[in-house]
Amino acid sequence: MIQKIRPIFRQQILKPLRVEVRCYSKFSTEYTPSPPKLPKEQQEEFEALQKIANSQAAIDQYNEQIENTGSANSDSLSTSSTKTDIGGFHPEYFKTIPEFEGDVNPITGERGGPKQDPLKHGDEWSFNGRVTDF
Amino acid sequence: MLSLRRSALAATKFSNNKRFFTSSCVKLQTIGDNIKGNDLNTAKYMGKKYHVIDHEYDCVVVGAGGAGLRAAFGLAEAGFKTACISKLFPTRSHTVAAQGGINAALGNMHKDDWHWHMYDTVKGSDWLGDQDAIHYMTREAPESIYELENYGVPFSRNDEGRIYQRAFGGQSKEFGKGGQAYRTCAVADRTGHALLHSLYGQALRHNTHFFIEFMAMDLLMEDGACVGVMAYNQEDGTLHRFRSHKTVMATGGYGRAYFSCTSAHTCTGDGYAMVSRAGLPLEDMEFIQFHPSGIYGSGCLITEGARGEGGFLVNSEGERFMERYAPTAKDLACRDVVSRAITMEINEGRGVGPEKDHMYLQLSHLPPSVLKERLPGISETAHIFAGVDVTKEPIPILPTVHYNMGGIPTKYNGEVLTKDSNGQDKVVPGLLACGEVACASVHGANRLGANSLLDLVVFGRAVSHTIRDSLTPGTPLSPLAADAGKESIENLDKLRNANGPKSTAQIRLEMQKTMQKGCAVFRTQETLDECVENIGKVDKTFSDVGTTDRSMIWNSDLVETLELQNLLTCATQTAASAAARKESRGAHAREDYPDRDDTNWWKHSLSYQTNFGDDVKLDYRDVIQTTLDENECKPVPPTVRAY
Repeated sequence: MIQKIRPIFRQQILKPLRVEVRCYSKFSTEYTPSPPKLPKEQQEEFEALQKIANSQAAIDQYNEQIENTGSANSDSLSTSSTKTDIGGFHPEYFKTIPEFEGDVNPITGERGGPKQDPLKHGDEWSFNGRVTDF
Repeated sequence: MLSLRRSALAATKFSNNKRFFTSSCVKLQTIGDNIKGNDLNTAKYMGKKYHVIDHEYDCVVVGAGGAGLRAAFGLAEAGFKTACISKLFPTRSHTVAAQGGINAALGNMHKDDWHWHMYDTVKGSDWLGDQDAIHYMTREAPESIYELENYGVPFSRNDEGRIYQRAFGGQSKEFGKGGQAYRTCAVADRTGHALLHSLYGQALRHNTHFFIEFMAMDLLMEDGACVGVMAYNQEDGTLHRFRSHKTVMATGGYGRAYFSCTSAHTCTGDGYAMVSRAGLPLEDMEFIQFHPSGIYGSGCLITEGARGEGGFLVNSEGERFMERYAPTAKDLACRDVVSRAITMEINEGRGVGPEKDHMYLQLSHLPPSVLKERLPGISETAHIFAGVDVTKEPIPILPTVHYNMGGIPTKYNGEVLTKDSNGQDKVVPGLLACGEVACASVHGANRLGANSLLDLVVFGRAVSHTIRDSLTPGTPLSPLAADAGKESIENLDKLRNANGPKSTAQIRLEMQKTMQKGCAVFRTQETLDECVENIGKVDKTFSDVGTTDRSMIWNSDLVETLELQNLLTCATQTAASAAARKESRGAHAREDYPDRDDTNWWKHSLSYQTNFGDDVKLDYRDVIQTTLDENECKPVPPTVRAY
């Protein structure tokens, strides 16, 4: 009798019970929804990498990289490939290239306005050659 | 023993069916004081194992872009308990990318009159705009701008300290006779950004309840009235039924139905499709604004100034084909002509790239000094978005969707319209719309630059005023059928468990390529009929879609599939409406019917598609040719639209 019960007990009672207990990353009553966990090995690798990325050494290295190359990209582009005849890609070039100094546009008298005339190409509202309205 | 076995079996059954959705209530992605929801017994009413939470609100706003936020805090300010549902964090909405300005006849630079602005807008719309709505928008524009100024939008100033206004396309003085008007206000190069952040700040001040990263799925309809909306909380996988007196749609455009568009990846026309599935019509879907030179793949627009400074377009044979289409103007021909020429070249098989589906814009023959002085920033832009060096290589471009003029038909006050059995306009109780998703219709067949941001704030505000005047805060809600929203959950369940052979991305790309090829700028009966047929086929393949993620938490596979379903609804209706309209008007330019036909086609298209995948049913609605008050503003009689 008991032998008959046991397999049932093992397969149909214990197993679902085990599934019901979910491993949360922290033991508190406040449950934070999170994506389902990866398979064990991958999850461990992920957590290890996360730990390394949060270490002081990694942060220092990142800051150094920004200081030296001006790029926050981890696989930072080599300077030769991004250089063209009309200048490199220093972060300041990703911003609008100013046409005048200061807050007041010397031609129109506009205060706090754009540093580049957005309508210099006619009916288009553009900055750095990118059109945003027309 | 028997009893033990029975309970063991019961336990198996239970555990197999039970899914581990979180039991937490709304918590993390909601902002606002004291947000409560009630659990619904779904096992009893829906027969499905989903966790559904009910909410009761006076008003629910779907979408948290410029129009949605303006409506939401207008309502909260008026004392309504307001929820704002958004699938994105509010300040990530596409409004943030609008760098252009906002038109209003403030008269800060010269004497100005909103009647002139009204004339320009009607003319811009090619007389397809409803003149009562245009009257309302241009009249309310100055006040809306001053309100924004008071909410903290830091407009650029002139030397007197007033809001600076600049000259922009399509704006004139004295009903087109007085020359260029200076009417466009802006916040340096970040108008949309400043606007969106100011509005979000205001919305928080007034305790609007935000439900962030909630994907709205369907409207809850009861006897032709809207009683709320169904949403999926991506973070914890719960479903939410928002019950409300008034539901405001402000979900933005559907640029992503095309292969190349400037709009964000989230502009998937969810609002259009939700309304369509509720059995209501969509209006003027065939009117879509294109720019000729968007970078292939990213959709970022390259200025026409690149051609103005000597750049030219080349096809796969290295030919400067614009010489054939416009012998005198060549590459300087107007935007529509260039767009159509590019599409015609592609259709004739002279496109470049592995799929022969785009063109080259060549700048490398220009001396570096010209590029540096006359086109600063072009090289950065081309490098970032196309990965090319403009001094050596051409930029790959193709015509790109920028704005959808059509949408949910509304009155000038934001109430959604449908047609009753007598063919008269009828207001849909409980449903309003504003922003790009709505078609008031102020843009008609073509939108004027800097009128879209105005549309957002004026009609976002109009919606809140309409509700303020017709509803008392705290009015009890009438009871809702316990199984309301069941169809929506069934659809979600079906897509979540879909195991067809085609991936979402595959079908989406087919749809985008089909629309880009057949229903973009070059339109003839032949191409449009072919497009209707092809998009119908793509629409049918949606039944073969397969998703791989079966979970409910952050299931982006599911969300993308829901979005694809919405996009397909928009795409099929766009193609059907375009094939039916046999005239050229504004953005809808037909090669075989090159003229505007006011006798037969001075009317709005309406398209219906009650169930997803149905055939599109077309109908028409008269354009409103009268203003709100003839004594205050006279309607503009139609003439030839020429600039």
